Amino acid sequence: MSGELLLGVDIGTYSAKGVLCTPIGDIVASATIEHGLSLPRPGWAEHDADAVWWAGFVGLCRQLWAQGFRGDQVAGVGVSAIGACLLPVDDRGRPLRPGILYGIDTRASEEIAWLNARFGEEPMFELGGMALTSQAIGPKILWLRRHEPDIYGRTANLLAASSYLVLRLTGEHVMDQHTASYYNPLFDLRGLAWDERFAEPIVELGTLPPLRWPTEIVGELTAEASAATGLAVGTPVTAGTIDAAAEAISVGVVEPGDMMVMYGTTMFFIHVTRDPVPDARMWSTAFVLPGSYSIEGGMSTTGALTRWFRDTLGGSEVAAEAAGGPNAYAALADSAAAVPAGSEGLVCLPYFAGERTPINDPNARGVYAGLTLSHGLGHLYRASLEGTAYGVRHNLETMEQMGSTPKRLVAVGGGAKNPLWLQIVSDAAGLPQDVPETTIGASYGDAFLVGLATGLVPGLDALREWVKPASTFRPRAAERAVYDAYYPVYRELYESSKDQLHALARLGSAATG
Amino acid sequence: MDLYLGLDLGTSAIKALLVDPEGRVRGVGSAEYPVHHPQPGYAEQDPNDWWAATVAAVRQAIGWAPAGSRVAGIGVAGQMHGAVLLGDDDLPVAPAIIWADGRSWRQVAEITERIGAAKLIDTAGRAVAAGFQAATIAWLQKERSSLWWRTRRVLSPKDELRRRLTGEIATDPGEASGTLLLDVRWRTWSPDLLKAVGVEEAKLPPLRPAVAPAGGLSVGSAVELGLPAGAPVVVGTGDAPAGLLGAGIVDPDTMLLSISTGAQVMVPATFVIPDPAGRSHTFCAALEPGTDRPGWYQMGATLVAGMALRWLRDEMLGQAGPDAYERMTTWAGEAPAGSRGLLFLPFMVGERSPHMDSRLRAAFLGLGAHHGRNEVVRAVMEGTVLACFDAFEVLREGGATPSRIVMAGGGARSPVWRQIVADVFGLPVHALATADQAAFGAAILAAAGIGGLDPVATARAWSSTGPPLPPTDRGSARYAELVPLYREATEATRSISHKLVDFAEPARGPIVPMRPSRRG
Repeated sequence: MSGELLLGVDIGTYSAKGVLCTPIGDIVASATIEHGLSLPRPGWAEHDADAVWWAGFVGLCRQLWAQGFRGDQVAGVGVSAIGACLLPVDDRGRPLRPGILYGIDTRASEEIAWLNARFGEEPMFELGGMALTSQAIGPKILWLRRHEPDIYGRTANLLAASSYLVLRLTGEHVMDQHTASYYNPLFDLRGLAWDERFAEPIVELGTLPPLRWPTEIVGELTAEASAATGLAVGTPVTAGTIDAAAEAISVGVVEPGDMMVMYGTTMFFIHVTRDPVPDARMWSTAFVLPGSYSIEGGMSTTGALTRWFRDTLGGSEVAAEAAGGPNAYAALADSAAAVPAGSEGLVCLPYFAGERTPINDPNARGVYAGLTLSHGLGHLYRASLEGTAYGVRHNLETMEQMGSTPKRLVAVGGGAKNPLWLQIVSDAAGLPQDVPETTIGASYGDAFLVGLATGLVPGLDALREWVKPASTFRPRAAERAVYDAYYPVYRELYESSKDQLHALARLGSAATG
Repeated sequence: MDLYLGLDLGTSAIKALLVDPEGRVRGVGSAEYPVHHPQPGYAEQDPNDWWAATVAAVRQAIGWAPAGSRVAGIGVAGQMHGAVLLGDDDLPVAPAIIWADGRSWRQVAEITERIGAAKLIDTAGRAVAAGFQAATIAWLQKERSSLWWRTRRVLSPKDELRRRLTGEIATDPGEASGTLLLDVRWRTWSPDLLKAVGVEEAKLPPLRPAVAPAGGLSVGSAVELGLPAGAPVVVGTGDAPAGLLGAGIVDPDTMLLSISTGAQVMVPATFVIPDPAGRSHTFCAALEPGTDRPGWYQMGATLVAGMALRWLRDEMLGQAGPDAYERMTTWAGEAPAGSRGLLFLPFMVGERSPHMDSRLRAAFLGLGAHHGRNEVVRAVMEGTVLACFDAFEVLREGGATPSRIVMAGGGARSPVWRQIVADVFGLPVHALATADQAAFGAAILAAAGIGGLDPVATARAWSSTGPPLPPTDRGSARYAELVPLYREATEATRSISHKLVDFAEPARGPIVPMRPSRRG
């Protein structure tokens, strides 16, 4: 090990990103590769492990070397990837099928119902701290066993995306505690270990990899991996983790009470806690730093809602942009900014694709209520942003009820470039949000984690140098008072109309034209 | 050739039609006049503006008429409910206070309390509302007592127009039911209602059938109009009953469904059963009751129909150009019945039938990423028709059993909208081809009263509709699922609407000001 640069690599749903950093957090090179998401059937979402994950890693390395760097300058490699997923490999580590992805893959709903009936929801929740949802990997293993018994029969090991990269790099089978938290009902959240209580119908526990922390070096680069990547033989590699958690690290969300709010295609929350705080409405996990836990949550339609709005109702704005005018989102945001808080009596339920936490209702649907002739496009757009803000407040309120109130919010993701949206969320949720001026993403957190693991980064305090300066959006009293009045109406609207929304969801999936 | 002149004194313009004895339109004219809003919520018009527009419209129509023709009779129709105040010399002493005027909203409760809601509805055929002559009279007594003291008569707008033509003072049961002072069952001024409002019968015009001759053109008005003095004029009727007649809807088997800004459903009736809850209204028709002569009609009105589509066009989709509606309804035709699970409740300004709730609000429910503009436009069209169906349910409870629908208004031009109506109601739909049916109905009354033609046979022979559009199995099945959902969703969002109205419109009177389009 002669180099002193840290390599962080993250494989996301649609792209992969790699950064080379110095031990004080200066980025010397970065690279990005786009890739596809395979949706072979309704409810299925897959990535090919070699063509997407491994090829992504290798491709990023080549891009970095093309910028004048060499593999032997790298002192350590940290990796992260998409939310917990499932890849069966044979006894020589070869993938037996494409990887089955995280919560957007909903194929195991029958298996969830079967497990709930067989064991009861309560005992499984006791063990894992989470209800079984489409995020849970246990039911997906059961799905594999039932629907693809040949493949299951040849499976020697079950891996997540980050653990597959670690396997290709080092030959080691490992999984980090944070990823394993989503392997419920096979993981003991308090004992931080695999548990056989509910394993018998699902899996032979021996096929699950040993558990490690993302702050640990778990192996060294093999000759074969060196030949493929250009990294030096013997380069240390961490256990890896899930991208959202690595992103939280990258913006300094590490202390109990810190919470990351990710404004992406969907909204995602990671709230760091000292102890496990299980609640059936949210997801409780071991965090990436040993000795800490996290409450996680996610909304289903947030960035996707603004995109739907632009594409469906923003025809004039899109046309104006095409004719050289302002960006359509900016034009919509401008018209929304001209509308006062509360959108003059308009409330939106943003459940366009159902909702995850805290209502966990895949058959919920979107609503605009309170419409009058006086409402224009700006009102509806603002109401959409406010709907997502009420959703954030609902999640925060749920955490509060769990006895774990976030103390500091850090906003990241593409939507965090929209100051109007950030201000609305701060006003509606009643909490300030720190917004880093630039965010690099999960790969930067991966680099920090391997820095910690190799000792090149002395400790968590070093994050003060790594994390970029932030501005702060604070709640404003007048707007907050308006949202305090509207929020109960938002909650009531879902409760009073959910039966009709479920019926409309059924009609919507039945209508084919 | 003999021609009959039909006039329709609308809210924004007068229409004049010259119709030959075969029912062919031989001349058309129209002219506009303003509505004045001297205070928020007030809506007034100047009867002199009406007259000037009448002269212009009639002269236009005559310009079209074939050489050698003569006007054999004149019928009048017009906007209902309003009040024209005449002094000692039978000339107006103040601007007319029209139906859209909201100043008398406090008097609505007072009158209702004085007579009792049940008795009021059973006598007058519906609940009283601001802008109706009964409420306006009560307001005048309380707020403008000296003006009321100088008022010798109160006329409805079209009766003022006929007074201007002939000097005769009269009204008809169809018009008079719009004042809310008539006993609709007996077709006479109701002593109880007159007492509750505090008006003597002497201040109201005598009641005569709509087809009854009511004098001839005075010399002065004949000169202004360019018509022969003495040309005979019939009493005529309000625009709603005249429109029914003009559309040829003269039997209880046929329903008129008009989709314009708002929507109305109207079915002729041979007997009177006012809805006890006042969710619809039962008024006198243009025909006097008799064998095969439905003397009444039931009507339900929804506030938002075409208005919602215009809102979508201007505020949401930003569609411009003369073919914008056609483009939008074509998109709607590309989405399946039920709009893939997207439901629109059209209560953008509250709702009349059957909810009578000005604080209901509109909503989209069931939105998903799979909905595009096709579904959004279709859902809006479907929502307005579901609202009509709900209004119709009240008529059905009142005994209406139509077997076909004649569709009128701008909405009737869209084949997609017609099919939605056919599928929601499960009845064949005919598009009305006759235009300006209230003025046309007034011409029919003239032909009956002056020319001696049978009004029912004439209405059937003169009006024209398109071929029947039958309901489809697939669409009917889908809407059978959607109708109960629409009703449940309305109830599910009712208290939400009320709270949001309180938040957004805290200190508002009963009048909804309409804002101009944001997109211009």
